[in-house]
Amino acid sequence: MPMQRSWLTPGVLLRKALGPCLPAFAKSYRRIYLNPEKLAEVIAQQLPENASVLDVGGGDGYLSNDLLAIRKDISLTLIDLATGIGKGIDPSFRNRVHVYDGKSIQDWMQERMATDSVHAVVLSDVIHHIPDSALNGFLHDLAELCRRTHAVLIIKDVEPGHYLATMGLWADKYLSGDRATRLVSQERLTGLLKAQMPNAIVLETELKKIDPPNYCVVLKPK
Amino acid sequence: MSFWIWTVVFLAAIGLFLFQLSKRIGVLLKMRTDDGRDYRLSTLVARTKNLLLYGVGQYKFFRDGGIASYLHIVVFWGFLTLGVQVATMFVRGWAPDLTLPGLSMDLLGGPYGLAKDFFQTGVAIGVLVLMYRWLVVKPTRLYGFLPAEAKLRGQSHKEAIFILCSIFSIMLSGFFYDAGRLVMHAGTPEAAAEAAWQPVTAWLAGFLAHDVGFAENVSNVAWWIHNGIILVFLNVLPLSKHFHIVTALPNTFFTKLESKGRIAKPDFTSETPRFGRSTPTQFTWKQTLDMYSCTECGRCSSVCPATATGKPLAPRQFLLNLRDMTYGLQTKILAEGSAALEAEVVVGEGRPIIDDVLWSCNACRACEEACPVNIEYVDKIIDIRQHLVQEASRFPTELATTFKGLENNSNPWGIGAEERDAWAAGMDIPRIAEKQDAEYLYYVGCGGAFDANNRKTTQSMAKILQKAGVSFAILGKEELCNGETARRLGNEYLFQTMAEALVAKLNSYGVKKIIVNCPHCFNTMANEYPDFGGKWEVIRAGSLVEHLLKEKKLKTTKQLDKNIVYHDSCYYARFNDVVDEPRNILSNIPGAKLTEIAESKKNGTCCGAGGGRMWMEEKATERVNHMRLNQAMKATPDVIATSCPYCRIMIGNAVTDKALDSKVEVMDVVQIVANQLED
Repeated sequence: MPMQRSWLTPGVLLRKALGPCLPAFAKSYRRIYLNPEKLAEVIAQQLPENASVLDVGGGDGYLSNDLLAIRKDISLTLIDLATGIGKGIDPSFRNRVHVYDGKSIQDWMQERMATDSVHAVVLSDVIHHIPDSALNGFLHDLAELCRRTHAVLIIKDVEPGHYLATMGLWADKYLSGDRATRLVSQERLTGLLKAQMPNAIVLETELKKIDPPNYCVVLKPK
Repeated sequence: MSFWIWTVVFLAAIGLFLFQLSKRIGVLLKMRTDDGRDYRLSTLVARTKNLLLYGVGQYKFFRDGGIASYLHIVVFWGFLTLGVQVATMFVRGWAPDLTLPGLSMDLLGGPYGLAKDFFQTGVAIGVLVLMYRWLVVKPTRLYGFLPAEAKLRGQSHKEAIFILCSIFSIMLSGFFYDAGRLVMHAGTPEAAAEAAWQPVTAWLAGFLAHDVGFAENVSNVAWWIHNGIILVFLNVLPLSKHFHIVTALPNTFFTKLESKGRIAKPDFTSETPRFGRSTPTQFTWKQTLDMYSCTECGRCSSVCPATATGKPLAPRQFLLNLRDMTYGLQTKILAEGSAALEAEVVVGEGRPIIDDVLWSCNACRACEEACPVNIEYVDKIIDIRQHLVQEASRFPTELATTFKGLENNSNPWGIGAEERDAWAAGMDIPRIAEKQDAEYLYYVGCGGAFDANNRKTTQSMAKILQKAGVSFAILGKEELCNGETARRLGNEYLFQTMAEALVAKLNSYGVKKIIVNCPHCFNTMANEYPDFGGKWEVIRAGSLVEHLLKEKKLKTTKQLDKNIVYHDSCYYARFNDVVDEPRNILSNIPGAKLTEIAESKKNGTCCGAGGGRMWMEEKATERVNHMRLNQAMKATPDVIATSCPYCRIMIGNAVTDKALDSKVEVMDVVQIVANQLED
C-alpha cells in the first residue's frame, strides 16, 4: 500500500526510546482504539471452516494471535508492502502462519494464487491508510482477488466523527507520519465495495455496536 | 490589568454557572412534592448521618472495595481538601499575597500544606489510573452493558476523558503555581516552612529555582490555567454527568428514611389524584434529584439480574433516559409547567422507555443497594407501571389472569378459597374464629397455602409452633391475599382494595401479633399496611424459630451432614436487612456445613420472581432463576436453603430444568429445622 511516511517521526523515536517495553506499551496503546479480543471474535465468526486466511497489511500480527487462538482450524498468510512483518506472532502459532512481506495483492495473485488457496481476505485498519487517489484501484484488486478465489472479504476500519477516531487519525498523521491517512465511513466504503462487486452480499457486523467507533463489514461473493 | 481581567472572567463564569444551576433547580421546584415522606426538621440528625456516611464518608466505595472505588475516594477527598487551595488561588486574583484565615504558617498552614501535597499527588496519580481504565481497560461497567445499554455504549464518552484531563491539569497547575511562589519567596522563613511541609511542591520548585523570573512566569501561567480550567469545569458540570459533584451530597442527605420496602400510598381521593407517572413533571423533586445525581458508574446495571440475562432493562440506562428527557424539556417545563407536558409521555413505543423495560424489573433493589449515592429505581419503575396498568391498560397479557385471580379468588393462581387451608388437614390447627385469644395469628400467604412444595414449609412451621407450645391460630379459608403482587405490578387500585379488606378482617379478630413465612408478605404487612390502619407486630417465622432455639424450646438434635447454601431473599436481605437470622438458625443444625454463595446477603441475586415477574413469561433470554442456580451451584451445595416461597419455586424449577434434582435439594429453612428436631 502506498504511504507517504517520513523516516523520522515522533512515533519512530518513541519506538526506539521504549526499546524492550515497546510490545507492552503497544498492546495498551492499541486498546485505546479497539478491543482486540472482540474484534477477533467478530472476524472469527465470519471465517469458513478450515479457512486459509489472507491477512492484508497484517503488520506485526497482533490480530493474528487472537484470531488463531479462537479458531484452531485456520491458517494465516500475512501480506504487507512493508518488510519484517509478523514479529509479534506467538511462537506457538508460527507453524500456522506464512509471511509474505514486501509484496502487494497483485504480486500475490501473480505468484501464489495458482498454488495457494484462500477462503477469506481480512483487512484490519488498512483502508484508512490508502490515499484517496489509490483507493478505487486497491479495492479493485481486492474485488478481483475475491472474485477469482470466491473468498469472503472482511474489512475492519474506523468510523469518522468519534473522538477516538480523531485521536487515532492525528496519531497516524503526526506521530507515525502517515500524512495521507483519512477515515472512510462504513457507508462510503460499503458503496465503493458494492460498485466493485455488484453481485456480492454485504453484511454489517455487530462490531460498531460493541466497540465503537470501529466497524467491520463482510462481503460474500454470490 | 490582570486584576480587572480576572474580575470579569470570574464574574462571567460564576454568573453563567449560577444561571445554569438556577435552571436545574427551577425544574426541581416544578416537580411534585407528594411522595409521602417525612422532611421535617426532626429528621435532620438522621439525614446528616446519611450525608456523612454515604456522601462524605464514601461508605459504599469502602464497602465494595476495588481499585476504582479507592481511587474515587482519593479524588473525592482530594477535592474536598483542595477546595481550600482553589479558594486561595481565586482570592489571590485580587490580593496576591493573601492567606486564608487560619492557614498562615504559624497556625494550620503547615499541616494543611502537607495534606494538600498528599491529596494533590494522590488525585493526579488517581486520575492517570482512571484514564488508563477508561482508555485501555475499558470496563463494560463504564461503557455500557449490551443489549440494554446500547444507547450508552454508542456514545463517545469523551466527556469523561475531558473531565479527567481537566482534573489532572488542575492538579499539575496547582503544583506549579505553588512551586513558582516558593522560588519567588525563597529565603523568607515562611517559604522555608512551606517547603518543609510540602515535599512534592518543594521538589518541583527545584526545577524552577535557577531563574526567579522564569519561576514567576511559570507561577503566573499556572495560576491562569488552574483558575481558568476550574471555571470552565464549573460550567460543564450542569451539562454533564459530573453534575453529580453538585447533587450527590444533597441526594445522600435526602435519602429515604422510611422503610426501604415501603411504597408510598397514592391518595386516590385527593383533588389531583395520580394513577401512576407518565410525564417528567409527574415525578417528585427527589426522583428528579436522583436523575441529576447519576454518576453513570454502572454499579446498578452490573448487579441487575435483568441486565445480566439480556433483557431490555438496565437501571442506569433507564434513569439516564428519564434524565435526558427531563433535560430536553427543561425550557418547556420552566416556561409552561406540568400542564403543557401531557403529550410528553416517557413510556411507550418510540418513547425514551419502552414497556418491556419496565416489565423486566424484578424490583429486587440490587441496583439501589449498589448505588454509591443512594439513587432509588424501584419506586420509579412501579410508578410508571401504575400508569401502564391503571391509565393505559397496557400490560403483558398473562397478567390478566393474575389480576383476575387476585380480584376473584384473592390469590394470583385464582384457586378457590376452599383449598386455602388444605395443607392443615389432620393437623389439628385452630382457626382464629374459634380461638380469638391465640397469642399469634399464623398468616400463611398464597405461596404457602397453594403451592405443593411450599405447603411442606407451612406444615413444618405449624409443627414447630405446636412442638414449642406456641399459642397460635390460622385464618383458614378466611385468609385473604395481602395484594403485594398487585402493588408491584402497578395495579395500585386493586392492591388498596385488597389491603383494606385484609386489614378489616384482621382487625375484626383483634389480632396483635402475626407470624409470616414469606418476605413479600412480611414487607407489605409490616412496612406498608400501617398506611391502611394495619398496625400489628409482624414477626418473621425465622425470627420466632431463632428465638425458640435460643430459649431451648426447640432442639435440633438430628445430624444433617450436608453442605447448605442459603439463598437470600431480596425482600428480607436488601429491603429489611435480615441477613444473619437464617444463618444463625442453620448453624444450629448438627453436622450441617454452611457455605456462602459468592453473590450473597445484601449482594445476593434475585431468584427471578420479584416485582411480579413470577407471573410473567420470560422470553428469548436466559432465565434469571437459571442464572441464580448457576451461581449457587458454584458452592457445590447438597441443599439450597431459602426463606421465601417464591424463591423456593423459582430455584426448584431451575433445578428441575437443569436436571439437577438428584444432586441438590431446595428447602425452606423452617422445613430443615422441622426435619432435624428431636423426636
